[in-house]
Amino acid sequence: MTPFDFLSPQTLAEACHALAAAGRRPIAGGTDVIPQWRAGRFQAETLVDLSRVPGLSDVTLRDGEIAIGALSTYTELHASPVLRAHAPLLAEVSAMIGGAQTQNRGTIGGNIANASPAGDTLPPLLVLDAQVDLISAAGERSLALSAFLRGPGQTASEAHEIIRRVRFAPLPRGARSLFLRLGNRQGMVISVVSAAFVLQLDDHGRVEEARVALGAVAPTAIRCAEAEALLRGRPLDDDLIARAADAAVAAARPIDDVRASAAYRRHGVRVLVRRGLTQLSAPGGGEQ
Amino acid sequence: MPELQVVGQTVERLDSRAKVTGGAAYAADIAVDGMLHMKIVFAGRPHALIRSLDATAALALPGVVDVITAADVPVNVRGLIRRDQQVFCDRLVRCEGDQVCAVIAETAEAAEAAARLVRIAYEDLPVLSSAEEALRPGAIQLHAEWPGNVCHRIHLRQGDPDAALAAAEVVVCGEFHTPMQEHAYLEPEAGLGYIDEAGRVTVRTSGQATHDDLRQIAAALNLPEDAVRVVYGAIGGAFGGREDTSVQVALAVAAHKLRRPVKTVWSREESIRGHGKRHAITIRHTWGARRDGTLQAAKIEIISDAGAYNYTSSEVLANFLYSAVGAYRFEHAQIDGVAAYTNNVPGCAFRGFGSPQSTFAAEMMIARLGEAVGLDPITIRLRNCVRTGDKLITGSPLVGPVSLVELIEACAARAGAVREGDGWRLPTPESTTPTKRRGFGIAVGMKNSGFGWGIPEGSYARVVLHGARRIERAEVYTAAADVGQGAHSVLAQIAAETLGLPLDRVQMIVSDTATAGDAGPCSASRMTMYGGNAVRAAAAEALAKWQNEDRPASGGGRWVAPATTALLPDPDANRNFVSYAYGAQAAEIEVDIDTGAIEVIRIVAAHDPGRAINPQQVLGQLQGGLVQALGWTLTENFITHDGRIETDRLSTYLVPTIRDVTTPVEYVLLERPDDVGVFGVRGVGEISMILPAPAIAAALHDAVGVWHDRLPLTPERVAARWPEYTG
Amino acid sequence: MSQVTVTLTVNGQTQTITTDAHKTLLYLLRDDLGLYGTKDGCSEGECGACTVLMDGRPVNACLVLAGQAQGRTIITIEGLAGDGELHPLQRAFIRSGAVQCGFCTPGLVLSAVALLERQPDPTEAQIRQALTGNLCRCTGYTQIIAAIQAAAREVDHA
Ligand SMILES: Cc1cc2nc3c(=O)[nH]c(=O)nc-3n(C[C@@H](O)[C@@H](O)[C@H](O)COP(=O)(O)OP(=O)(O)OC[C@H]3O[C@@H](n4cnc5c(N)ncnc54)[C@H](O)[C@@H]3O)c2cc1C
Ligand code: FES
Ligand code: FES
Repeated sequence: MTPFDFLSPQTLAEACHALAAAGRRPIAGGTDVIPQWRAGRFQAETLVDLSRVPGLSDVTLRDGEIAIGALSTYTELHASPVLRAHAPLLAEVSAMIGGAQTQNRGTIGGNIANASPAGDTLPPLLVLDAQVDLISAAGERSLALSAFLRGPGQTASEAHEIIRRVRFAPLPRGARSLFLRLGNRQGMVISVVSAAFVLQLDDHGRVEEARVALGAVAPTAIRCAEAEALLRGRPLDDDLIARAADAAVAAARPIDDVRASAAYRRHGVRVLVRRGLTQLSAPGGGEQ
Repeated sequence: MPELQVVGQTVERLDSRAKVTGGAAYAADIAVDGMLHMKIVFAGRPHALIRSLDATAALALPGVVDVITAADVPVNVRGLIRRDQQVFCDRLVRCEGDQVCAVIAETAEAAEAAARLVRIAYEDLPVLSSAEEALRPGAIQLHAEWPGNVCHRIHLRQGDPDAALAAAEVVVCGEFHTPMQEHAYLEPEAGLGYIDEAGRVTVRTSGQATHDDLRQIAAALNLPEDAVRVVYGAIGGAFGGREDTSVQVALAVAAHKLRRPVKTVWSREESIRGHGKRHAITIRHTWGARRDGTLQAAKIEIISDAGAYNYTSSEVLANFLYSAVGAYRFEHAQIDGVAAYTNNVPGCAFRGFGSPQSTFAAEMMIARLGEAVGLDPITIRLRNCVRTGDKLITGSPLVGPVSLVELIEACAARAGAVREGDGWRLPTPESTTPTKRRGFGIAVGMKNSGFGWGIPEGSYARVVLHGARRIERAEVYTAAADVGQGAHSVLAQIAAETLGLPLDRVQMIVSDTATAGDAGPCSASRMTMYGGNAVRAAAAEALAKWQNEDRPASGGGRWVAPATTALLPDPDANRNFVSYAYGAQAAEIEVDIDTGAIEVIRIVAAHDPGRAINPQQVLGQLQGGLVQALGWTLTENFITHDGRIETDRLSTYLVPTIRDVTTPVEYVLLERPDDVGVFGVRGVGEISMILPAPAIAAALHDAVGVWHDRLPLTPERVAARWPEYTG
Repeated sequence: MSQVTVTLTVNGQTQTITTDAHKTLLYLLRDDLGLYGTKDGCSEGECGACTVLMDGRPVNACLVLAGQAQGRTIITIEGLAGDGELHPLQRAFIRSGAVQCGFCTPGLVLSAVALLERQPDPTEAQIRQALTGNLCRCTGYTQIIAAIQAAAREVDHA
């Protein structure tokens, strides 16, 4: 627990400037930073607090795009009418994270930047095809979340970059979506396996669009391209669902840890994908 | 008995107002002027030789006052039952939680920073990571005085079990594995050591027995006992885990050497590494019975992981001498048990003291026997369970009324079982979800209250009555620890009842070795029973003197519990305990066959508190024990690997949250007073802890047809046994 | 060691404190302000013993840095009872037997206060959702739920 210095910029420009120096890292809700720092797994000479920077915690729907400020807390996301209407799985997952205390402090930007394989907003954001907007003293850039996540705790951003927002298109009318997870306890639990789905069916029950993402079963949260390709254009029946689940299992590269074995995680992928797709195939299942 | 006024009432606890306003002072909440801060340096490795210890860099850090080591401890040993652990290791480390030295500084930060600068050169040694490994011939020896790593052995033989088993019409076998359990009391260890105004080396901390702590401190410092003092403030839970010392001796050594107040506060990770755990135990049973289900013979083998030091391992194992057979009658039995020293965190007391483990195994056995002979789970239990006038397997008479049959029947009936012919028809719950199965299970058991086994037992209390014409104020002096169960309040009720006073005229002066003699520990469900007897005797004596015009009138001293015996060769001479608690619980569960997750839908818990001094608190004890059992059964998965603890945080060691205990529990309380306990009380601190695991495992079998012999029943373990598991 | 200076309102009193930059609000309250009612059970957000209300919402004081509390309004357990008069939830915790060892109690009471402010008549499921982040190892939670329901009824009828 090595001491650090603390800076509290009041504007985005100040924050970018503050982070430009070496040894500095951002802190938002601190729900990952502080436990990791105590455990000796987070090093910084100076923490730059983003929580006072204005304009980073709005959820807006503008020009056919939803933008979530990185500093939005889970409590805010859960309550957001925009998300409830256009990306309900993100509103739902926000109520599953930690307890009320964690939800009042933890932010979506922190969950993304922390890049835990088990980060629960990541599979939903992946199936929403989210873009991550970064800003730093050097300028701005934007990356697909799938490209942003590189490994456990590893991302494509540099230490001086701030996640400003995540953006994605609202789910179209009639799209079905769902987030499911397995854990070893009911409350306050890190996912052992998680899965997010977006599905659009045509009038004949044929899959028009399918997106499936998994958490906690690979070095990062992942999309399951093979399963998606298999689903597209086919009628969503039990057989297809079973094959999609197989494809998802094949995409997973889980490990053993204190929470579960790799074997159970693979089994969990099959169960969640089968369940998720079955639930979504039911009339009106997970529909907007 | 005349109408009771205060006893039997739900009254406000004495400490609850302070606790809801934040005013109650726990050990970490004490700060005094000029106080130093101590950081203990733990070994953090399971087995190693200490080659050298160099504190130069640590001592050079500004603010550092001292680094204390083995050389500072006059008699460098501690231990409740057996002094087999060094206060600070000087040569050999036997578990991660061993303390090697302690840095003392002007600030907590400096102590912490300096602790990282203490250079200790270790030579790691091979690790004994299980009892089985430790008992293997040729295994390396952890304690020279205990050859073969045998920490303790038990043996009992009644009748001729071999012949009886050979002749038995039905034989069933089983092997059961129960895991360690972390107490996870919410208050991590902390304390303040100082020299009091009388010059005594004083430690204010949280524990379960002030006088047990005091004796270990005095011995280590080689001081007479009256030169030492132990005081407890508010205590944030204990459950057995504070019977052994943690910070006590190190704080005393520091304060004694430096003559200044010294404070230490452990982190959660230090707490999990630094105190004992419920023993991991393997139990093997072979039972023989008649075709009608009547039990005849049992051969039982117990292998317990004592960990690196004895703590209470020998006593926990000894309790298997009666509890191994569950609450059942056998004519022939052989029980062999061994507790082995290993490099794991020591096994210690934890609510139930071995009975959760023994009951799990015995109940799984009776369930299997029922299946084998075609009897329902209730009938097979009623056919074999102990009744008034019966004996323990040791030959010791089961003194007092045995309410078990009544409890089983009440539990079964409430749970929806109905008598049919000469058996019972059980509920057959069905799930409405295709991927879920429901099941129903029952478990019954008993637990001794008080230590028994010939351990001299008693409790000290003193009562002083003040006033002139009427008693204005009754002071009750007791060193009994209130670990959160409400002991002080219950003792106040007992004093008020005895004296015929309203509760608000009773003043409790508590938990300080300077003001009261040894009350004995808060363990074995004994404090209300025995501490209460001591207070009642003291109050009665004081009252008699008051009536003789003594002003103030004072009474009390050591109340001595009825004698018990150790295990004696002659069964008829055995008198191992004087009081027991009984219970029966039924559980309905729903299991998700895909994920393996178990949801407990309903529990019926039938218990006999003898007499409830404070009904709300009795319920609180039963509820708390039951939920700790749910944790042990379902979510609490304590993982060690090569002697290293992998679940050292509350994020990896999962105790039940409020969302995990949605189960409605119906309590059926039958009060069948037992004269040994004050006002007829029986211990209720532990009994509800021992039944949920076997009841749930039986319900799981009912649901999916699989016997699970290993706890906890994690989703992974349950799913992996389902035929469609694909992992 | 680097320091921060923060001005914050604790239990109605505005104070300015200079303390270590890496200190959490939990230890600012305990060490700098002597408010020991806020407990440390894990220092990593898992137990809820350190729960305080920050701008009316429950947070884990162990996960808030001192500097992050700048300008905020904090209520700790010591600030709940006005003039010796207990808050209805405190009374209900006492009466319902929701207090055993009491180490979880300050945090639980504050989480419950925040709940009742938003949801004067919560369902059992809402109570469980609101208290998920507060562990209690002693009571098994039943009497805690009962206490909150009793307090809700009392506030409702007041
Ligand atoms: C008790 C508890 C339970 C939890 N349960 C769950 C759970 O169920 N599911 C789950 O997914 N997570 C869970 N978490 C973790 C979750 O709270 C965090 O991942 C949270 O979302 C992180 O946000 P934060 O604002 O607290 O980030 P911080 O801790 O402040 O920061 C986390 C990381 O992100 C960086 N960072 C933060 N904001 C930015 C930004 N805008 N730009 C660039 N970098 C940034 C920081 O430098 C740091 O590396 C839990 C945590 C706790 C304490
Ligand atoms: S101390 Fe903050 S949550 Fe445990
Ligand atoms: S009363 Fe002890 S933790 Fe809740």
